[in-house]
Amino acid sequence: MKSLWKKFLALGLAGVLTVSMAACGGKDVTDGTQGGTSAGTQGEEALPEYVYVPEYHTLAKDENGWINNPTFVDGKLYYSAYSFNEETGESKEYYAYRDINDLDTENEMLVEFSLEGKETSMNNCVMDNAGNTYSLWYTYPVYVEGEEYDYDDYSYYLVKHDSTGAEVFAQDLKDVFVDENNSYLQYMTVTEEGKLFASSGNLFYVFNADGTFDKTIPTDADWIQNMVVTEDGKLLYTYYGMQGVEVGEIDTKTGAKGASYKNMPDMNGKMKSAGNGKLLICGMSKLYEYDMATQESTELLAWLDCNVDGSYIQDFEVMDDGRIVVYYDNYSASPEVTILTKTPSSEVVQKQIVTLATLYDGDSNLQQAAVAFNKSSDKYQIKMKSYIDVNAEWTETTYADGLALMNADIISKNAPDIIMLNYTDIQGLASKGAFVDLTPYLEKSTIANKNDFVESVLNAYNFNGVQVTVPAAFNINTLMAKSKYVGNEPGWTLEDVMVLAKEYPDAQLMQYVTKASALQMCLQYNSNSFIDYETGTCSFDSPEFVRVLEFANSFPKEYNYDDESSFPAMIQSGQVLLADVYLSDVQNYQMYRLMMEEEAISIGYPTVDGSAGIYLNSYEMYGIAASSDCIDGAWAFIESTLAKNENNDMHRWNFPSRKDELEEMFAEAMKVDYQYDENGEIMYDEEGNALQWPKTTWGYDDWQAEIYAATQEEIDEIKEMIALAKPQGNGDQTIFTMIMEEAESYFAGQKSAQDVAKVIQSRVEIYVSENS
Amino acid sequence: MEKTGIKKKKLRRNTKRMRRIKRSSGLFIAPSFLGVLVFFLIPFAVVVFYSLVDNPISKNFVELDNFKYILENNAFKRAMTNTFKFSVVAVPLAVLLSLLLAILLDTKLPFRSQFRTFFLSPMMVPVASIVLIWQVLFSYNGAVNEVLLNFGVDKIDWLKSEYAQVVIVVLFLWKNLGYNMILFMAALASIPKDIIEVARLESANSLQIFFYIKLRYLSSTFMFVTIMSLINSFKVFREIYLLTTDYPFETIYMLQHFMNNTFRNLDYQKLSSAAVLMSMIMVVIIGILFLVENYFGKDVEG
Repeated sequence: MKSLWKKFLALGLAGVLTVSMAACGGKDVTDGTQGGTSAGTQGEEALPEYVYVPEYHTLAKDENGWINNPTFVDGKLYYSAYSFNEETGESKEYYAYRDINDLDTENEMLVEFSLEGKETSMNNCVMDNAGNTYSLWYTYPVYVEGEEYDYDDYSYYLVKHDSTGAEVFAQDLKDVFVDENNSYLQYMTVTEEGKLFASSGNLFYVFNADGTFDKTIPTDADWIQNMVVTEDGKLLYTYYGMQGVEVGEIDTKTGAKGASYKNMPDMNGKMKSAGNGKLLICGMSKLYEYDMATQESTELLAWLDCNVDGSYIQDFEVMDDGRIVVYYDNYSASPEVTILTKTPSSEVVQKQIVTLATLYDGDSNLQQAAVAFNKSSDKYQIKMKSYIDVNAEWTETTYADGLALMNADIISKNAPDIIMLNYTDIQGLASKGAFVDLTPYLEKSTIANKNDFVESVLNAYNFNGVQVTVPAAFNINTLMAKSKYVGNEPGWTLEDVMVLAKEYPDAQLMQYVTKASALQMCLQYNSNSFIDYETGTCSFDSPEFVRVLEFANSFPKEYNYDDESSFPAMIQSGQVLLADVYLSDVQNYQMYRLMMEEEAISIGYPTVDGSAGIYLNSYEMYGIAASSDCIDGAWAFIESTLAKNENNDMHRWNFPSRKDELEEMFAEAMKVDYQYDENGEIMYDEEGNALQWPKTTWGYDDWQAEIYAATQEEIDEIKEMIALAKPQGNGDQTIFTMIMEEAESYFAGQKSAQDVAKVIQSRVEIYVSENS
Repeated sequence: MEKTGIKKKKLRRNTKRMRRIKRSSGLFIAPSFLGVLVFFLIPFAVVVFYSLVDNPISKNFVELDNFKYILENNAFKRAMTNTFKFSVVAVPLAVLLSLLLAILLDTKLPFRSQFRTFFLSPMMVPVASIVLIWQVLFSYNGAVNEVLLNFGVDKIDWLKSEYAQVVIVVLFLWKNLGYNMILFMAALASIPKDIIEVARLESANSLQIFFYIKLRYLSSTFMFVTIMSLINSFKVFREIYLLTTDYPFETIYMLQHFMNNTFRNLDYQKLSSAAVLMSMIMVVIIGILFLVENYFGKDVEG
C-alpha cells in the first residue's frame, strides 16, 4: 500500500512534468522582458550621474539656399553654401564658418574661383590647421543660345587659398581622370603635411602640397563613404563591406594599405578620431566609441535622450571642454546646431519616461516625431525600446525574432507604453485586449479629434469597438484598367477576370504576370472567401478554388523580360490589360490616368463578392499598451503625431490621414499654375483656353508625361478609392504562404489541381480551426 | 516501571535522532525542491491560472470556458485524435519490437555486437540529419517514389496524404528501437540464472520460461520503456515540424503543433487549457501503467 502511495506521488510529479512543457514556453515571455523599461519601472530606476542637456540653435538660411559639407573643426562649423535671390535672380556659392559660441553670425570666407568663359561650381572644400582652404571646383562651358554646347568640355580644379583668401594654386585635374567611372571627387581630406586625399568611387586620388597629382590608391571598397585622418597619420575610410559598414586604413605617408576594421556599430556615415586608437561613431540612434584594437564598440549616449534626431546628423564633434556639438539637417526645416553639455542629473528637471516599443529605433520618421515631442513636452520624455539589435549580425530570423519578442512583451505585463504598430498583427493583438481604446481620447482631443480623420482609415483600425490606432499616413494599392475592358464601376469577381482573360487571349492580363503572381492576384482579397472563421471550416477543395488554380496555371511559369517593350507602350497598345498601381499622391494617379490614354478606372483586385479589392497600407501607427502605467503620456505623444502638421514635413511620400491635410493636398494638386504674359495677364491658346504650366513631369520607362492641375473628377476618384480601401490582415499571409507552397507542385505539373486543393484544404483548415 | 523508563528514553533518543535526520535530509533535498518549485511547480501553477482567465492582460476569471472552448475546437480535437492514434500504434510497436530484438540479440547470434550497434546508431544521428534523410526518402520526388515508379506504382505524396502517419511511425520506430532494445537486454541479463536453470530442470519449455519467469522480471523495465516511449511519442512533433512546418497535413497534426501554434499566436489560454488537459490524460495513462506493473510485478518485488 505504502509502495502504491509512493508511486502515485511519482505519478503526480510526472503530471506536473508534462505540463511544464507548456510552462517553459511561457517562461520565454518573461525572459524577453527583462530589459523592459516601462514608465512605471523607469521612474524607480537609479538616475545616471550625468546627462547631456541640449541647447538648440536654428541656422537661418534663405528659403532657396542650402548648406553643404558641414564640418566641425576646433569649435567652428565650416560649410559651403548656396543662396539664390528670387527677386534679383542672383545666386551665390560661398564658403563660410560659424563659431560655436556665436552661431548666429555667418563668417564668409574668400574662397572664390573663376575661369573665363566657364561656369564654376564648388564640389567640396576642406581646411588645414593653418587656415588654408582646399576646394574642388567643377567647371563647364557657359551655355550660349544658338551655339553648339560642348558637353565634353568640363573639368575639375583643385584650388588652394591661404587664410587671407589669396589663391595659392589652381590645378586643372582633367588629365588626372583616366578612368571615366572614377571622375567624380566626392570626399576630401588634408593631412598635416598638406597632402590631399580625395575619394572617387573606390579610388583615392592623392595630391601633393603644391597641388600636383601624386598617385591613385585603389581600395577594396565599392564606394568610399567617408574618411578621417587620425593623429598618427592614418587615413581611415568607411565603406559597405560583406559585414555591413567596414573601415579601411591607409598610411598617408607611404600610401600603404593597412588593416580593415569590422564589427562597426550601426552608423549613419560619420566618424571622428577620438585619439588613443579610438573612433567616435555616429549611429542612427546612438553615439558610440569604437576601439580599433579590440574592434568593439561602446554606447556613449542615445541621441533621443538628448532630443537629437540621429537619422539626420550631418556632422558632430566632441569639443575640448567635453561638450558635444551636432549639426542636424533633415532638408525640410532649417538646419540646426545642438550643443550638448554634460550636466549632473540632480541639476536637471526629470520628466516622466514614456517607453515606446519599436523593432528599429533608427526609423527617421519615428525619431523625428519623438524628438519633436520631447522638445515640446515639459512633462513626458519618450524613450525607445528597440527589439532588433542593429549591431548584432543580421540573420534570417532577426526580424521574426524581434517581432516575436515584441509580441511577447505586448501580451505580458511588461509591455512598453506605446507600441509602433507598423509591423505587427494589429487585429490579432487587439483580439487579446492588448491595446487601450483610443476613442475617448480622440473624442476629447481638440488637436487630433476623431472627426479630423478620414473615416475609412479610422474604421480600418477599429476592432470590435476598440480604436487601436490611427495611422498618420497611408497609401493604396489597386488595379487600374481601361473602362472598355472592365466597365465604369469599381469591383469585380474572379470569374470576371477569367472572362476578360478569355476575351483577350493575345493580351497579358498584367505585366510580369506568372502563375504565382496570377494566383496571388486572385487570392489578394479572396482567401477569406473560401474560409468561414465562424465555424472554423474552409472550402479550398471546392470546384471554385480548383478553377482559380487552373486559371493561374494558364500563365507562364516565368516571365521573359528580354523581348519586352515598355509598360506604358504595352498598356496603351492593349498588350497588357491591367496595371497594378501603388498610389501615394494625386499626381501619381494622374500619371496612370494619362498613361492609359483612354477612359480608365481603378477596378481593384478581384473579389469573390464582386466588391473592389483596394489595399490600404498604413504608416506611422502607434497604439497604447493596455498594461501601460502612463496612458496619458502615451496619448500625449500619439496626439502630437496626429496633430495638424503645419510644416508639412512629415508623411511626404503618402496620403495624410487627416482630412484637412488631405484636402490641402487635393487643393494644392488642383491649383492651376497659369502662364502669365509680361503684363501679368493669363495667357490663352488659340482656342481660348488658359495656358498652364505643368506642375511636374513624371516618367515611366521610356514614357514621360507633364502633369497639370488635377480635375475635380480625378480627386473624386481618389476619394472613392480611399473610401473603399481596406487593410489586409496579417493572418491571411499564413494562408497565402501555404497555398503558394502547395500550388507549386501543380504549376510544376507534378500533381493535379484537385490533389493540390485537397492538401491546401487539409492544411488551411487546421489553421482556420486554430484561429476560429 | 524501569522497562517503561528505558523505552521512553529510547523513544526520546529516537525521536531526537529522527528529527535531526529529517532536518539534514530536508537541507539536502532543499536545492532539488527549490529547482522543482521554480521550474515545475510555479510554472504549472501559472499554466493552471492562465487556463482559467480570459487573457493574460485583463486576467478575468472565466471558470472552465477555456476548457469548453478547446474541447469544441476542431483543431484541438484533431490534434488529440492524431496524437492518441499515433501513441496507440507507435508505443506498443516500439515496446514489442524492441523486446523481440532484445530477445533475438540475447541468443547466441553471430554478429550480435554489430547488430546492436546498428540498431543504436539512429540515436547518434542529429534530428536535422534524420529529417534530411526522411525528406530524401519520402518527399514527392524522393527515393521511395523513384523505386516505386520502377514497379509501375504511381507517386505518393507520403507526407501530405493519409500515409503521412505511417511514415512518422516508421521514423519513430527507427529512432527509438535501439534504446529500448538496450534497456530490455540489460533487464534480460539481470534475471537470476538459477531460477531459469531450475525451471529448465523442472522441464519448462522456452515459452513457459519467457512468460512465467522472464516477463515477470521484465515488468518494471516494461513499465519504464512504455513510459519513455509514450513521452517520446509526444516528442515526435520535433521531427514532424522540421519535415512539414507548423501546419502539416491533417493526419500528422499533433497536440504539440496545437500548443506551438497557439503559443506563437499568443493564445495562452488555449495553450494552457490544452496543457492542463494533456497532463490529466497523461496522469491517468501513467496511473494505469503503474497499476498494471504493480499487478504483474508484485511477485518479483515481493
